[in-house]
Formats: sequence, structure tokens, C-alpha cells
Amino acid sequence: MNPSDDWVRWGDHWQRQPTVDADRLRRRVQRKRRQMQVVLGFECCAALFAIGQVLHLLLDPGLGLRWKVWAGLALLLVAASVYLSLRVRRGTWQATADGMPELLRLTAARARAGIRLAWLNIASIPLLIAFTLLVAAPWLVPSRWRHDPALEHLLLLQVEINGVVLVPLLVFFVVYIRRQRRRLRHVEALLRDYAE
Amino acid sequence: MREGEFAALLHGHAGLLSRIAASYEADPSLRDDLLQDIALALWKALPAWRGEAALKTFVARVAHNRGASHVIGRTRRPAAQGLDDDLADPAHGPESHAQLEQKRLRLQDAVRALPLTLRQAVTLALEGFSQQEIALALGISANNVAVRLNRARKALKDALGESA
Repeated sequence: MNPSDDWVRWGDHWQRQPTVDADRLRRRVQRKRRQMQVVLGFECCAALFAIGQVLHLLLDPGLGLRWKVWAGLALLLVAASVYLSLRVRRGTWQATADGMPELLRLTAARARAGIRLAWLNIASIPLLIAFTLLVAAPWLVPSRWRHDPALEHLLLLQVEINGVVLVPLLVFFVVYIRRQRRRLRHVEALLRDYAE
Repeated sequence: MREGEFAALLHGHAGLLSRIAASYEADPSLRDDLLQDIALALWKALPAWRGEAALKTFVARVAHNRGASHVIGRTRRPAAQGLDDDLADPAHGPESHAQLEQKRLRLQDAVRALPLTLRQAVTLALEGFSQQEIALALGISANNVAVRLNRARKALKDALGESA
């Protein structure tokens, strides 16, 4: 049989598939766009609030130098988070109109960047803990909090809150790195296929 | 882009988009989500369309890119789809309709089982795209498309039990 006959015959079966309701799909896209705008607005508000708080700390004349240094570093952290969030969002949509090899190369580059970023985050957690302990050292001396129930309560609360946040965060980054490596292997295999 | 133009684009390409999404995802609810992602990607990408390719080719390219992003990194192969009972075709009696449905589903499963690099070319060939149009949509050479379609045809014939 002629190869083109096969494609025509199969194409006839293929095109009998059910078709999506276009109006329903358009409404879903409208809803999704609104949701994305709300999330973006919320993220902007949260970033502005965080920057405002840190600037308040920086400009407070009653605070010592070590807290001002801590606030400066926190400001850098907030700025980096906002930048990364915007970069990831832009990258998600950037390649929608590229050819498949370009899309795969960009996906691989993003996976590699994601892995590097996750390792950076994993490394920054003990660094942040060490720096915070250094800044808070005068309040951590046992003779200071043993006879001050309010300070003891505050320190315990900090340990609990940070433990609850940091341990899942570490697990998240490890899982994320494994997932990105798997993605990278898949993309590299596809790129080899396309190069054949 | 105005809402009216976007609605017209979705109406004009609903079949193509549905079939491309179905080639990447067997689960109906995940397929719905993928279709929504594809439509959203089209909304974002369309302002960049300058008419260098036909609109149908551009739409297929964006849809395949989203579909590929959907499956990259996933290790489990999607499950085969069961027979839909609610897809009546008034042009055929119930028996021939069931047979046609079986053929369609077997073809759909066979296409989904192809490696991604063959599947993308196949879905476009089944839509009636020329080799040149497929090359343009996927960003590869026409020769490359011909090789892939040849390999895919053999694989489909084996999978459908049509090998001589």
C-alpha cells in the first residue's frame, strides 16, 4: 500500500476524536488569567510588605549595627526572591513559540539553573542559621534566658517556627533536585534523538 | 489580543488542539488541564506571531511545545484510554460506530506509545500537514520529518497489526 494512503486512512480515524467545547475552554482560560493576576498582585503586596518591614528596621535609630546588617542581608534575600520568581515565570512562557530543539535546549538550561539554585538554597540555610546565631549570640547565653521566661519563650518559639519551616524546605530542595535531574536526562535524550 | 479574536481562534482550532492534547495525555481530567495550559500559552504567544508561518502551523507549534513540556520529566507512561460510550456518530449504526471507535482508540493508544520525537511528527501528519509544514511547526528539517514519518509508519503498522 502507498505510504500516503496509510496516513490518509489513519488520519480519517484520528480526526474522529471528540473535540473540546471551545467556549468552555475560553472561559477556563479567562478564569486562569484572573487567578494568575491575583497571585501576582498578592506576591507584589507580600514583597512590598517584606521590603517595608526590613527598611523600617534599617531606619530605626534604636537598633544596633548587627541588626542593621541582618536587615540589610534580609533585604538582599527579598530582592533575590522577587527576581527569581519573575525570572521563573518569564521562562515558563518564553519558549512557547520556539522550535522543538530550541525548547529542549531552553528546558535543559532551566533544569541546570534550577539545580544550581537549589544547591545554593541548601547551602544558604546553614549559613543563614550561623549568621542569625552570631547576631543573636548575646541573647543565647544560658545565663541570659534562664532567668527571663519571656526571652526563653521567644527563643523556643523561634526554634520551633524555624524547624517547622527549614526541615520541609530542605526536603523540598532535595526532591526538586532529583526531579530536575530526571527531567534533564529525558531532555538530553530527546535532544540526541532530534540531532539524529 | 481581543477576546473576540481569541474566541474565534479557539473555535477554529478546537479539534486540532483537542487531538494534540490527547496525544500527550490519556487521563481526561489531566487532558483538560493540559488543554487549558495550551490555550493560555496561545494567548501569550499570539502577539509574537508575524505571519511567517500559517496560523494553523503556529498553533500546532505552541500546542506541541506545551504538550512536550507536560510530559518531559514524567517517568510513568500514561494509561490507555477506555472506550467512550457517549460519542454517538449519527452517520453510522451502533455496531459500526463501536468498531470505528475501537479503531480510533487503538490508533490513539499506538500514537501515544510512540517516542516523543516520532509522535509529534505523526500527529501533524494525521492532521493533514505537509512535510514542509511539519518541519516548520517543529523547527526541524523536512528530511528529518520524512525519516521520522517513515519510522513511525512502520511502528504504527506493527502496533495496529497491519504489518504484511
